[in-house]
Amino acid sequence: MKAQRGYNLVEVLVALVILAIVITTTIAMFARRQQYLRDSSETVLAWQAIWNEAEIWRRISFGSLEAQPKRFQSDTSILTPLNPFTTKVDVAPSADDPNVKNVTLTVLWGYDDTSKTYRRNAHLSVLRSDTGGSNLW
Amino acid sequence: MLVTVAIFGVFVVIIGTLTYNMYYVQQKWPINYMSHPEVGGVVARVRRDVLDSLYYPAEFQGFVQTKRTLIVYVVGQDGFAKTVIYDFRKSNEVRRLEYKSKELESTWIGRAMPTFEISSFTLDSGQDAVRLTAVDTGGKLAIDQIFVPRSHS
Repeated sequence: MKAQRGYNLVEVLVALVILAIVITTTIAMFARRQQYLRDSSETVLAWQAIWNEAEIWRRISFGSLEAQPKRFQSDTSILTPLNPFTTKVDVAPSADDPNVKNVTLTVLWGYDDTSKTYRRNAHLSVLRSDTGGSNLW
Repeated sequence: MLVTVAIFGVFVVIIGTLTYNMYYVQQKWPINYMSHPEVGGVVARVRRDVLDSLYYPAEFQGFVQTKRTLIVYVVGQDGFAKTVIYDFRKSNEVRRLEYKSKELESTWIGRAMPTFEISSFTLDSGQDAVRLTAVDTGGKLAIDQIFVPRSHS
C-alpha cells in the first residue's frame, strides 16, 4: 500500500499568504467602490444646490452683492443626506477691474470631529460684472 | 480541517458585514437619477425651454398648467415662437410636446423616469422661476433644480 503524503508547513503557509492577498484585495476593492459611490452621490447633491444658488446670485444687483448674507439663500433640502453641512458665499472684487466681482459658492460637508474641519467641499465661482443696467448678468 | 473552516468562516463574516454596511449606507442616499441619461435629458430640456420662455400659459390644447404639467411659451433659437408642454402625469414617463401655432411639431418621450413635479415661485429679484423636483422610490428628494428665464428685450 502506497503511503499518502500531506502538505508540509511551507506549502500551507504559501497557500495562506496567497489566500490572504486575495481576501485583502477583494475587501479593499469592495470598500473603495463603496466610497466612490458615496462620493458620487454627495457630489451630485452638492452640485444641484450650488446650481440653484447660482441662479439667485446672478440676479442680485451688482452694487448690493457684498451686503448679502454670506450663506445660501435657496432651499437646501436636497442637502439633507449630507448633514452636518454648511454653506458659504464669498464675494471678492477683481484686482484688475473694479467692475468685476468673483462670487464663489461653497458647500462643505463630512465634518471631522477630530480635526474640527469639513473633509469634503464643492464650489462654483461665477463672475459678475457691472453692466450699469439691471440686475442681470 | 478545523483551520480551513475557521478561515472560510472569517471570510464569510467579513463579506457579510461589508454587504450589510453597504446596504445600510446606500439607504441613506437618494437614488442618483442624474447618472441616468434620460433623466438628465429631461432636466436639460426643461432648463433650456424655461431659459427661452416668455410666459407660462394657463392652458393650451386641452392641457392645463398643474404640478404634473408644465406649459411654456418659448422663443426658440430660430426666432420663432412655440409652445412646449411637459407632461409628467404618466408614471415612469415624460412627454415633451412642441407646438408651433396649434400644430404639433414634435414629440419626445423619456422612459424609466422618477415622479417629477413642477412648482413655481418668485425670486427676491421679482423673476418667476420654475422648480423641478423628483423624489426617489424611498421618498427622498433626489432632484431639485431651479430654472429662471433669461431676460428678453
